[in-house]
Amino acid sequence: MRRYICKRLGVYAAIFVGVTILIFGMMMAMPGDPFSGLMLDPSIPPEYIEQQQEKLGLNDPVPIQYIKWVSRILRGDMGFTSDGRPAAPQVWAAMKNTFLITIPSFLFSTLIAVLFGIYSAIHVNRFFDKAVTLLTFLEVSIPTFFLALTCVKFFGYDLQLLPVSGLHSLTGNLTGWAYIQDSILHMILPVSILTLTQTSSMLRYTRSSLLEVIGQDYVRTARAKGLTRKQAILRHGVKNALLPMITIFCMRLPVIVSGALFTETVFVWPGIGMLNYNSIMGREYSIIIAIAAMQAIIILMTNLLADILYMVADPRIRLGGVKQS
Amino acid sequence: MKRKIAAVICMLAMTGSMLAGCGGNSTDESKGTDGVIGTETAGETTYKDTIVYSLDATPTGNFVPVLSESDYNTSVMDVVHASLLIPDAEGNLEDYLAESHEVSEDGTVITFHLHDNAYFSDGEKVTADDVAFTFTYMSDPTDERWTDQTTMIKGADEYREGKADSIEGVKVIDENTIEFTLTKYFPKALSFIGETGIAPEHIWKDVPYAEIENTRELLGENTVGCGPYHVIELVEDQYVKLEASDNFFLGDVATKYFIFRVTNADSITTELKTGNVDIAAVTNLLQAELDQIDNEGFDIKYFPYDLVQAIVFSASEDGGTPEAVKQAIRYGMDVKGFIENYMEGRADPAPILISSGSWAFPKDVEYPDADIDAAKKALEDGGYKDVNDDGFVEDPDGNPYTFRLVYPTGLTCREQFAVVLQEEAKEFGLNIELTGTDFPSLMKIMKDPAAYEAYLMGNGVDSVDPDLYAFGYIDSFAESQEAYDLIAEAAEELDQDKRCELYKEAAEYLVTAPTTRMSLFCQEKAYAYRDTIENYGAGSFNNFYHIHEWKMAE
Repeated sequence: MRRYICKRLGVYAAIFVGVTILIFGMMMAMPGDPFSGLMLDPSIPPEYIEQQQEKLGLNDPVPIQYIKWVSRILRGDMGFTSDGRPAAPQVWAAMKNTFLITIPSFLFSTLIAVLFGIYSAIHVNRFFDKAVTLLTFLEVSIPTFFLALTCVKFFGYDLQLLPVSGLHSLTGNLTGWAYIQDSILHMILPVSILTLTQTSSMLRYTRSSLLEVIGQDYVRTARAKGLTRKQAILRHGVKNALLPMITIFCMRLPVIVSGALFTETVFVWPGIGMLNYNSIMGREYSIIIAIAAMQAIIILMTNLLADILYMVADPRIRLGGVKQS
Repeated sequence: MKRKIAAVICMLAMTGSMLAGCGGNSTDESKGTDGVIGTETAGETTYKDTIVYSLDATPTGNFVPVLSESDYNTSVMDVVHASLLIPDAEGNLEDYLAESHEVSEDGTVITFHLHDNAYFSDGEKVTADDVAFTFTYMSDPTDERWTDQTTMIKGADEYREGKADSIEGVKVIDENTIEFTLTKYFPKALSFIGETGIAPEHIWKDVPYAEIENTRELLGENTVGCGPYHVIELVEDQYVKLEASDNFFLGDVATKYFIFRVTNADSITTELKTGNVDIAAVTNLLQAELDQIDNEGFDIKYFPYDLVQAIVFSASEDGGTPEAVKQAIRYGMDVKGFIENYMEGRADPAPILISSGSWAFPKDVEYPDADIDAAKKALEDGGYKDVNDDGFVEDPDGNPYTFRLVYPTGLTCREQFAVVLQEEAKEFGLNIELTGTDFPSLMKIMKDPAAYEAYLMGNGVDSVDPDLYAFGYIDSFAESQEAYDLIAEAAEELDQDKRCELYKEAAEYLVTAPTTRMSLFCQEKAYAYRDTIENYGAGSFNNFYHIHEWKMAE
C-alpha cells in the first residue's frame, strides 16, 4: 500500500502542475485586470493604471508570471491583491468561515443520506421510500438560491425566528456560551440549505447501490441460512454497497473547501465561494489562483483517499485480486 | 426500542435548548457594546446609541484619503475623515473642516480658515500643516493617481518632477490658515481641494506614498482621522464598527456608534424589518415594495444618482460610428418612454451629462420624444437604405449593417435599456446586436474602437463640480460646435448662475445633436431609513451629510 500511495502522489504532483498551468493560462486569457474599472474614471491618468499593472507584475510575460507565482507559493506566499493586502489571510479567513457551514452540512447530509437511503432500500416501494423519492426529486429541481431566499422570507421576514445574514450578531461583546449560541443560530439556515441540497444525490446513490446488492445471490443465500431480510441486508448487503458510496462520498469532499456561492451570497456568509466569485469579477489573480490550487490539491487528495478506502473496504482490492476502479 | 426513544428525547432536548435563544426580535442590532440598548435622553425623547447602515460589499480597511479607493472604503472614509468642504444635497459646497473660505476674484487663490478646535482621533490638533501635507503627499512623484488634478495647483508639477522641494501653490499662512494658488481658474479646483479628506501628517510623514497600502498597522482599525467617527472594529466581509469622536470640531456627535454592515440586496427588506439594519439602499426594489416598506415604520428618501447613463459611440481612426447612424439613434430612442415603462418613472431624462441632483442641471430643457420618421430619414440621408427589404438597412455600399452595442452587466436599468433600444431600432430599420459583459471584459472591448459601434456606461463626476471641460468629456461633444463652445465658456465662468445658464444653452443643442457621447437618464436612488431617525440628510453628492447630527429615537 505504501508503494502504491507514493506512486500516486508522484502522479498527482504532475497533475497538480498541469492543472495550475492550465488555470493560470485561462486566468490570464480572461479580458481585463484588477484595474480595468479605473479606465472609466476620467480623472485617473492612464499612466497611473500602467503603474499599478507594473507593480503587480501584470506586464510580465505569462510564463514569467507563472514562475514567479510558483516560487512565491513554495515559500508560502500567495501574493497580494490589487489594493496591497496580502492574499493568504483573506483566503484562510474565508476558508475557516466556509468550514463552519460546509463541514456540518457535509456530515449531516452524509448521515441522513446513508440512513435514509438504507431504510428506503430495505422498504422499497413502501410509503417512506416513495415519500423520500418525491422529496429528493423536488429538492433537486429547486434552485439553491430560491430555496435560500424562501427560507430568508419565511424564517427571517415572516416569523423573525432566525438571523438571515452574517456570522454573528453585531453586539460584539458576546463571549463563551452566548457567543457559541449566537453563532449556531446564524449557522442554522445556511447549514440547513446546504444539507438539503447535498443529501439528495447521495441518498439516491445509497438507495440504488443497496438495491442492486439486495438482489444478489449471496443475500438470498444469507436468508436461506436463517438471517432475516434486514439482517442479511445490513450484514452483507451494506458492505458490498460501500464501494459506490465511497466514490460518492469522496467526490463530495471537495465541496467542503470549494464553498457554496449561492448560499454564502444569500446569507452574507464570507466564505471561500464568495471570495472566489468576487475575485474572478475583480480579476484578483493572486486569490483566484490560490483558491484554484488549493481545490486542485483537495480533489487530488480525495481521489487518493478514495483509493485507500477502497482497499480498506474491499480486501480483494488490497490483495490485488480485483482490478481497481 | 428504549434506546431509540431515549435518543429521540435527547435530540429534541438539544434542539429545544438551541432554539431557546430564538424567538421575537432576536436580531435587534441597535445595541451598545455592553449588549444593552444604550439610551440617551434629550428632553423626553430617548435615543439609541447605534445606527446600522447597510453596504453591499465590505470595506477593506484602506481608509486613507490620499488613496484611490472603492466606493465601500470611501463610505467609511467620508465618516472617519473630514474635508475642508462638503457638498450639500445639490452639490453646493459648504464649509466643514474649514470654518470659512474665500476665493479671489479671478478664482485662482483659495484661502481656507480651519476650525481652531479640530483634532484627530488620537488627540493631535488638525493644523494647516496637515492640509499642506495631504496635497503634497498626493503629488508624490512615485504615483500618477492624482496627476491630472494636482496639476491645477501652482508648482505641483514642478514638485512632482523633482524641480522643487515643496509645492509653491500650497502656502501655510498660520496654524489655522492655508492658501492654495492655482495655475489658472479651474471650476473643479475648489471641489477637488475642498472634498479631499485631510490626512494626519504626524501619522504618514515617514511613510513613502508607495508604501501606504503595505503599512497595515496604520490602516483599518488604526486609522486616524478628524471626522465625526473613528473605526474601532473591522471584520472583513461582515461589518465596520465606528465610535463617535470625543473631539469633533462641530460639537457632540449625536449617536455613539455607527456600523456599516454588509448585507445581501435580495434580503434587504428582511434586514430592515428584523432590525439588522436601520438605513439601506433600496433602489432596486419596485415601487410597490417601497410603498410597503414606507408603511412599516420606515421613510424612503429619493434623490438622483451623481452619475448619468450615456451611450458612447465608437470614435475609431477610420471615422468611428457614422454620423447618420448616431443621428438616427438620437432621434429614434425613446428615453422618456423607457423611464416611464421600465423604471416606474424613477429617473430623470438627462439632456446633458450632469446629474439631475446638481445645481447645474438644466431643468427646463425638454428631452425630445422619439421620432421614428426623423430617424429613418437620418439613415436615408446617410445612404443607409433597406435594399433587400428584410426590415434592416444596409450601408451605403449595399452591405448588411450591424450596429454592435456593448453594455456592462450589473445594473438592471442599463441592461433593460439595451434590449429596449434594440427593439425600438427595428422600427427605423437599424439592426442592433447586443453584447452584455462584465466590466473588465468591457474595458478590453473598449480599447479596440473597431470592435463595437457603441457602449452604454454610467458617467460620474470625480467631484461635485459639473465642469465638463475637465478630463476630456468635452471632446465627446465636438459634433455640436455650439455646445462645445458653451461648455468651454462655462469652464471659464466663475459665477454659478451664469454657468448654469450656459449649461442650459448647451443642453438645448445636445439633445438633438449626434454627439459621440449622448446622455440618456439619471437614475433615482432610494434609501429606506427608520422613521425614528432624525436629521437624516443623505443626498446625491453626500450619503452622509451631517452624519454627526443623525440620531434614532426609541
